[in-house]
Amino acid sequence: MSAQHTPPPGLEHEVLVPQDPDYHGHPNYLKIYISLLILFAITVFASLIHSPLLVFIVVFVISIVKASMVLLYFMHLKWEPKLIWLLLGLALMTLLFLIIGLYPDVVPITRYLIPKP
Amino acid sequence: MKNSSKKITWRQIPQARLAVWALIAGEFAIFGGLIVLYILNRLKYESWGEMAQHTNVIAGTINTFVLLTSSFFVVKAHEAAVHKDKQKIKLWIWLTIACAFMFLGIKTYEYTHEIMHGFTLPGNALLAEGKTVEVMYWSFYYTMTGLHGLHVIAGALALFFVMRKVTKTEENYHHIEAAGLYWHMVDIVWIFLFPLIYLIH
Repeated sequence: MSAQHTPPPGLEHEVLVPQDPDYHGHPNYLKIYISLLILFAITVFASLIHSPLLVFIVVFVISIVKASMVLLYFMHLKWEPKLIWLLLGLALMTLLFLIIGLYPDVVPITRYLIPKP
Repeated sequence: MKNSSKKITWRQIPQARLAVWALIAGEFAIFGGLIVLYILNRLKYESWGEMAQHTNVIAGTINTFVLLTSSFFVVKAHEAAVHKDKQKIKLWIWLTIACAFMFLGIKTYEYTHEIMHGFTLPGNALLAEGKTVEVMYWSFYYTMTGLHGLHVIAGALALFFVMRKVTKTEENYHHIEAAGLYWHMVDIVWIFLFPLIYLIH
């Protein structure tokens, strides 16, 4: 943080808006970009596999890896405080409840629960 | 990796960045819900796989490359903002906006092609053949890609206005990062949409 934004003595903890955005290191963005492109190429080639389920698993796992790379390094989530992780965790929890709530409507599980006559 | 990082506490997060993170969390829940529902329906209805074959894989592939590249441009703009380099900020943001235009142009071409083949949102042609499940596929397709497209427009506008303000006033350089975060979110959503819509038949 630059000197002009140094808080008065005793008020250090009150500083809410640091003006210096360089709170994190700068990863080698080009390296990450190239890694993302390689994973993207693998995704495209993986789609040529003849088993749809296998394609689904492979491309979905790669998508999660790619999204994590963007989140951690491009969005600097790796350097963010726990509050941000908590925010995203809450979003994922909401999503999980949504899945649990909607799953029986989309895929009727009652057919497995009710014995066939 | 340059090791200039220092851990910050939640009290030190700039309000703009915190607000964008909260927005992103909400967006993840919205798009995540759509994506999960798409997957569940896709597993349930085999005909969705047949419908997916009518999407333009080449256009989707080019668009994925464009969005990944734009994410790189945005993060370079953020790097330039750290060094308060106005010229470089402008350069990288304009390149990102150019990518947004390219993405939307390709998407428009795709939509035109699909609509001309009768794959519309109301799906009248398919309904006439009694294909209600197939109509649902295109409803999901247009909802997910359309909503994503609106976010691309919003992201490009946000980047443009933030760039203009920051380079004019020469303060609040960290707003570039906040707008960039939103753009990365748009990229992350597409990272999931692309294989699900275009590649899994």
